[in-house]
Amino acid sequence: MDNVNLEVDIAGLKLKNPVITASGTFGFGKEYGEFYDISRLGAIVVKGLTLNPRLGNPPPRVAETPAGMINSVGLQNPGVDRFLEDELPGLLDKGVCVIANINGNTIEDYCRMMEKLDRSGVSAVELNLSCPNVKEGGMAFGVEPEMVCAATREVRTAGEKPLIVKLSPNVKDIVEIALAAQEGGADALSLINTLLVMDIDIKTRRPTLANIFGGLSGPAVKPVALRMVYQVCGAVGIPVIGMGGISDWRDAVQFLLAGARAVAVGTANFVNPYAPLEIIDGIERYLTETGFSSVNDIIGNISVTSGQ
Amino acid sequence: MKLVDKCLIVENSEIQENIFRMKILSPQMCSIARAGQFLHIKCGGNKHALLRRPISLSYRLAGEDTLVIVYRVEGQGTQFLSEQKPGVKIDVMGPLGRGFAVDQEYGRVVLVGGGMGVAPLAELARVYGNKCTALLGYRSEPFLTREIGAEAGKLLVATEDGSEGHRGFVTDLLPRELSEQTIDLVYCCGPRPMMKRVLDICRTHGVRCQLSLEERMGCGIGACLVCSCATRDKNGNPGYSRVCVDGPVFWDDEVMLDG
Repeated sequence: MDNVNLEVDIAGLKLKNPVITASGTFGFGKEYGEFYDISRLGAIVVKGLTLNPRLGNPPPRVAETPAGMINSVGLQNPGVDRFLEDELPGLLDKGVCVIANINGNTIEDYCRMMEKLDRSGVSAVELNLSCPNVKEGGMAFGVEPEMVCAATREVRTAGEKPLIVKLSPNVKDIVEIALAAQEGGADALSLINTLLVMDIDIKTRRPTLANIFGGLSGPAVKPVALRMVYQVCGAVGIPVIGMGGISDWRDAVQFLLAGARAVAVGTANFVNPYAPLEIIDGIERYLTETGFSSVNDIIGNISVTSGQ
Repeated sequence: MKLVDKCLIVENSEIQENIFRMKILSPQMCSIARAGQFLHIKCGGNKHALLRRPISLSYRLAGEDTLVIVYRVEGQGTQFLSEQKPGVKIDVMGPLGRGFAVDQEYGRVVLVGGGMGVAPLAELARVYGNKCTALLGYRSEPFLTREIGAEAGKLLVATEDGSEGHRGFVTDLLPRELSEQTIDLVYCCGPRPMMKRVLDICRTHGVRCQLSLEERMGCGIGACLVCSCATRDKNGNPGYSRVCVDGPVFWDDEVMLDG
């Protein structure tokens, strides 16, 4: 297996392997660092940050559905400054590639965060224009192509680090949004964020979540995510990070074949803390067994003989 | 490094309708588990209940390297657990969370449990033995009274239907225990209305109290922030804490049970 190359390049960002942990599922890396050496990961995307600290939504914040979970955390985080002071130095000491996920109420918020992060040790910035759990939040930017393009352009000029735009699946046409982000100067895209859903407790006749709505993740969303990643990869010229319900290496290989240059593992971490490592090993084994020498050989490598 | 292990089920028996006692073999977890901590158990994963289920440790059988949990079948996760036979292995993360604060200097403590909240108090009864009084409340038929009664210095039972012990709420029994002698700490676990009442009684008597809270969880280790509960920090400012790592046991001045 020594001669299999797992390295991928995302807009100049060199990852030792294509497996990333998804924002909001991995905290700031400390918790899972108690299970394994997190420098083995391609990168980690930290919990979504805002300019100022946020308490998040009131509980209950979670519900379970068949093969899925719904969350409405609402961007609880200590704010970008505390992240840079308290969390980032320890993370960098571990030797892991860190991607910061940013959320704002205004384009100005995003730009100020980009400026601060640009002077830090993070490797890239993920622009979340699509959090479903905050009323005034990124969702407003993420659904209109013109807004996505404008927001991306402004943030792009506020710093030099690779800029990844995270896309919402809760839109009319995700390809249109992807093209708008590319036009605005995004270096890469990541998709999908969670699907906007709800659940009702029939005993109390109330919504299960205090926030009423939440974001669906887990295996239930995987086919939706895979379809969207495939469509977007076919339309844009920039790298795509695919995510949505990936729970094992087979799922990850599907996203790579659909055209994603890297994959992110989210909800699966909760079920199996070692899921990302098992996925790295599984991809390596798959490459060896199928005779490919590099993970880049399978990215987008599917035959489509009819239809789309 | 934290533990995730496939552990052998030694026993899984229905001790009362829909209430099960499971004995899980794990020398490592047994040696480090403390009263009030929980196990995060995979209940079938993608094929059944996606998320792990947090189940509190009831007590340890140190001589047998075994952890005992007592759980009620509520949904598909616990249904899955109840169907597992002795001899099969289950996937367990743990022991997790901040357990009860135990101080051997305490002269006298009181345990107050309601319904399934009785379960995590069993290990405390073993830790304190004669020094503890256990007040256990049930809707009807009691469980775990034999195990706790064998360890605790004193045991009083309350049932809402009067089928055993005091007819009424377990909280009816608390004021007398707190006024008869000096109590160093009250440990409490049960339904929210019961815990609020316990908190009120403890405040009236000037006795400190620790409460074990329950919340649906995701990761169980503090990363996902879905199991939040309303708390106050040291300066009295309201905010949210994670039940999985900041709790499940909280001090009386930390919790905001109305929040």
